[in-house]
This record gives sequence, C-alpha cells and structure tokens, in this order.
Amino acid sequence: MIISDTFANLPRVCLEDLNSEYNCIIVGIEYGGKSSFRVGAKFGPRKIRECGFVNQHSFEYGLNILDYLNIADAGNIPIAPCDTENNINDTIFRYVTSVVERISYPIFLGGDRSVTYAELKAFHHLSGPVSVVFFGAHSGLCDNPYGNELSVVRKCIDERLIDCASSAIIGVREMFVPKSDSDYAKKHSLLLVSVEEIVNKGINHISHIIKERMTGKKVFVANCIDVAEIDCAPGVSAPIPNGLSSFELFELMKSCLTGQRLLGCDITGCLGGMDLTKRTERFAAGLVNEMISVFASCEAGIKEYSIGDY
Amino acid sequence: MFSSTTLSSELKKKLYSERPKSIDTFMNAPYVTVAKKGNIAVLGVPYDSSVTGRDGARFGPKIIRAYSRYLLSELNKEKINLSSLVDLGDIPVILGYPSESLLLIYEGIKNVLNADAFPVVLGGDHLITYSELKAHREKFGKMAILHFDAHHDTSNTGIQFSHGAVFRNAIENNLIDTNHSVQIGMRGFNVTYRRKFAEACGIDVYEAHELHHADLSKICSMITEKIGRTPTLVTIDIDFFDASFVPGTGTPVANGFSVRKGVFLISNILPHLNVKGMDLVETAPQKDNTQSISTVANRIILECLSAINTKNEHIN
Repeated sequence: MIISDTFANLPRVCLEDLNSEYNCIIVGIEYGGKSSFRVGAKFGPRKIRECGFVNQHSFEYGLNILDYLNIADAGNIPIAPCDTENNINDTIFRYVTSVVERISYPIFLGGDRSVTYAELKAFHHLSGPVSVVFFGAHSGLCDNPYGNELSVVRKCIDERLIDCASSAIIGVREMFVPKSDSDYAKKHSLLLVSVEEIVNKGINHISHIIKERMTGKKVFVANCIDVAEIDCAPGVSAPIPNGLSSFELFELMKSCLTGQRLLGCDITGCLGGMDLTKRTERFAAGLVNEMISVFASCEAGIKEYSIGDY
Repeated sequence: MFSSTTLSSELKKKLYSERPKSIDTFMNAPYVTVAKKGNIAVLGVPYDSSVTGRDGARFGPKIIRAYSRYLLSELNKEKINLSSLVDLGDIPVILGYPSESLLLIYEGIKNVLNADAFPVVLGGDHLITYSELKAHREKFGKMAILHFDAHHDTSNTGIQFSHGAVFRNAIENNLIDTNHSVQIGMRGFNVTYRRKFAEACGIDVYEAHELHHADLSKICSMITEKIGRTPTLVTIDIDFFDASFVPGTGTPVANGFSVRKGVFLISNILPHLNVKGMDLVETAPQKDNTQSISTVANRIILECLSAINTKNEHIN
C-alpha cells in the first residue's frame, strides 16, 4: 500500500513550479480566519485529502477520466498565521494567480468561504469579470462591516469581480435570506435560487434557467459544502438544515455545468476535526470527484447531461 | 401525578435566586423574569431524570440557545416576526426529583399562560409535557395535542414518572381532548399495544411507514380537519426526525423523516390550528459531536413560530 498525503494518492507537484504536463491541479488553502461561527476550516484541505478518491471511469458521461485529465496535487499555499488581510489580498491572490495562469482546471480546497474572494480577484486580474455559480446555504450578501465569510459575495460584487448578469447563488434557504440581501441581488440582477424553489420546480427546470444565463461565458464554480443537507455535511461552520441531498446537488451541478466553459472550482467550508464520523470530509472529497468528472466531460466536448424527470 | 407535592416558598425562592443572572438567550431575545401579554415566551426546562435510554437532554436548552445566535443575522424578517419574543431563562428543576420538578414546571408555564403569553418550551425529556398539559388544561380546558415523535409515549410499564408513559398519564388524568388529537411519525417494532391504546382513546395515529408513501398534502388536510379549532399544544420530540439528522437524542430511531418533510408538515398544518403552546424535547447535544441536532432544533422552532405567526391571532 502506498501511503501518501496527496489527494487520492495523485502525483505531487511543486506549487511554485507548475508545468503544462498537468491540466487539472488540486491546491489546498489552509485559511479559516473569517469563519462566521464555528472554526476549523483551515484543517479542511488536510481532512479532505485523507478521504480523497477519484473514480477513473465516469458512468454518467461514459468516459475514462484520465484520458482527458492529467491530475496532480500541488500541496497547500503557504499561509502566514494570523495575518488575515495580507493572506487574502496578497499571499492567496498571488499563488492563485500563478496557478490559474498555467492550469486549465484548478481545484482549490478551502478554507472558509472568504478564500473565494481571493480566487475571484485573481481571475479578475487575469481576464476581467467572470461568471460564478455559488453553491451555498448562505447568500454571502450580508452587509457586514467586518466582512466575514457571510459577506464575501457582496464584496466581490462591490469590487466588480464578477459578472452578476450571468452568475447565480444556488441553495440558500428562504427563511435565512433577509430582504436586504434579496433586494441587493435583484438590484444587481444576480439570480438567487433557494432549496425550496429547487424542490418545488424540479432540478431540470432550475438547471435550464441557470444554463441559459451562463451560455458562452467563462464560469467559475464556488462550492461551499453547507449547501448540502446536514446529514451528509454536518461539520460545517454555520449549518442550516433543509438543504439539498447529495444526489440532488450532484445532479443539479452536472446538469447545469456540463457543456459550459469552466475555469475551475473551489470546495470551501469543510471543518477538519468537527465530524468524528468523517461524513463531511467524505462528502467534500466526493464533490471534488464529481467536479473532476465534470471537467473531464468539458475536455471531452460533451454538451449535455441528461437527467431523469425529478 | 404531582398533585400532593408541595414546595415551600423559601425553597422556590432559593432555587430561582440561584439561576444565572445573565444567559445566552434564544435568538438574542430580552432576558426577563415575567412574561407580558402577547409575548412569545421561551422557557428552558433542563430536566432529564425520567429517560429510559440515553440522558443528556438537560443540556438541550443551553445548546439550542447558543446555536440560535448565528441564525439571527440572516433571518428573513418577512417570514417570521420575533419582535415579541422574550426569554424567561430556565425553570430551576431539581434533577432526580420528578414530582417536585413537574410542580415547578407547571407553575412556570401557568405564570406564562396567566399573562396571556405563548409558551415555547425547550426540553428536557418528554415527561415535562405533562406539566405543560396540566397548566394549559386549567387555562383553556382539555387540550388537543399534535404530537410529532418516533414513539407513542403511551407505555404501561407501571413506572409513572417515565418519558415513555407521559401521554398515557395525561389521558388517564383527563388532560387531553383525545377526539381532536393526532400522533405522527411513530415507528419501530414494539408499538402495537401503545397504538391500540391511543386509537381506543380516539387519537388519530399516523405511523412513519404509512406517511413515507402517502400524499403529505392529503395527510395535512386530514390532520387539520381532525384537530379543528380546539386549543392545541404542539409537542415535538426531536427523534421524530431520522437518526442521521438527529443522532444526538436519547433514543434515535432509523427510518424517520427528513427535515424537509418535517418542515412541510409543520408549515401546512400549524397555520390552520388554534395553537396555544409548543415544546421541543429530547435534544441531547453531547451525543452528537457535530451539533447538527441543535441546528435542527432551531430550524424547527423557527418554522413553528413562523407557521403560527401567519394566521394565529394569539400572537400579534
């Protein structure tokens, strides 16, 4: 048995010296300084790697993943403890920029949700505003003077890092979106989709709407795992019950992302050590695996993902 | 059950004076000693000496309050109005002394009801519902119950102060209007005589295996019709939900309900009822290291208050 500290025993590459041999790279961002409630997100990358797996064959798309993707693990971005603003604005931004410049499909493992800001800043720096699909239980639109992870989407919009007209926030809970947040989203024509809406209207209908918005755009996928129901991801910073089941989430994700021009993704919000049963880490690793299969389908030129009538 | 129990006023004064001077209140509501007319009054009852399985529900009120704080900043104020919410703190129950504790709980709830406020009780084990029913009975007459639970709580083992016999005791003591009462979510194997007892008294019982394949909208209208406008106590044992959602309860049972189904039932039934009080019991957070049970408890209480808010003239 090979014992390795990389995700799913993937080859280890040097973060400072990435070459074009690989087109999909996993990078950890051990940063949890802006957690809104429970702490431990900085141990997320380590715990997700412990549970990491990559299915070499995708049954849904009918293709061998490794024919299309050359995947490696580049370890973690070196974070200076306690130096909150410098980490976000400088260290993470700098490293993410260098990764995004060289790699077609980067996968960032958070970290709390605030690392998404640094990533989007890097994308903006390289190619202007991008479209973003945020999956999360929290809208991220809170008008919070201190700017923790609950206000990260608002911060991105205020700094014009994202193209709101083609972006969406998916998986919020109706009871936990204040009117100020939904008004702000409406003002910037950002689509806000609640779990209740997904359940009532069906995954097919919602994915069709999202897909239409994003057609032709370059899309980054920001996953905060608290979008899922607490039975599969209880170890998150601020869990809210009545989320999407893992099946619903993966189906929705694949149906709206297949055939898009994807720039990469992040998986944030997994707390290390909170969940002794390791359900949360396992779910986050499963999400990485799903994203890898979506990237492979993009590389293979698959345009549609057909799902049943849910 | 505790009619012959007495507590001296000195002892009661001492018990109340030993309570903490400040607490983490539910949804950051004001911490008060007396409820006023129109208040939604939250009361903690940290009592778990009458459990048959795992204990720990004494920590329920504390952890539910602690976890309510982070939901506050994102709460949709259009869906729920918490302007009249107050927190009365915990009733100073005496662990290991059920009849004395029941008396203290009864008096606490009675004070809230006499002030024309709406009690929301955070348990504690399910025995505490007996005192609530007794206090409500004196104010409103016989109460209908809407009882969400994995267990019938109508066992006849002969142990009076057991959380597994609370509704048998309440029915035998004439506290429940059984012809307008409903039990939902029961499951497991050892339920036959308990169900028969409840049904012989006139209670409608919906077991989990019936509901998993049923049209829930129809079930909701049947329940609404059965209860009608009788004064109702909504009592929710958190083990109504599946063991994967609430591992931290005394007696978790598999094959239960998702939060989504629970929310559907609550939001479709409660707006049509004449709800006079509610409780949520059996939250034992130390059995769940991720504390997901506390978030479920908070979500369910908020859904109930939101559903009751919408049409019930009792609160605002």
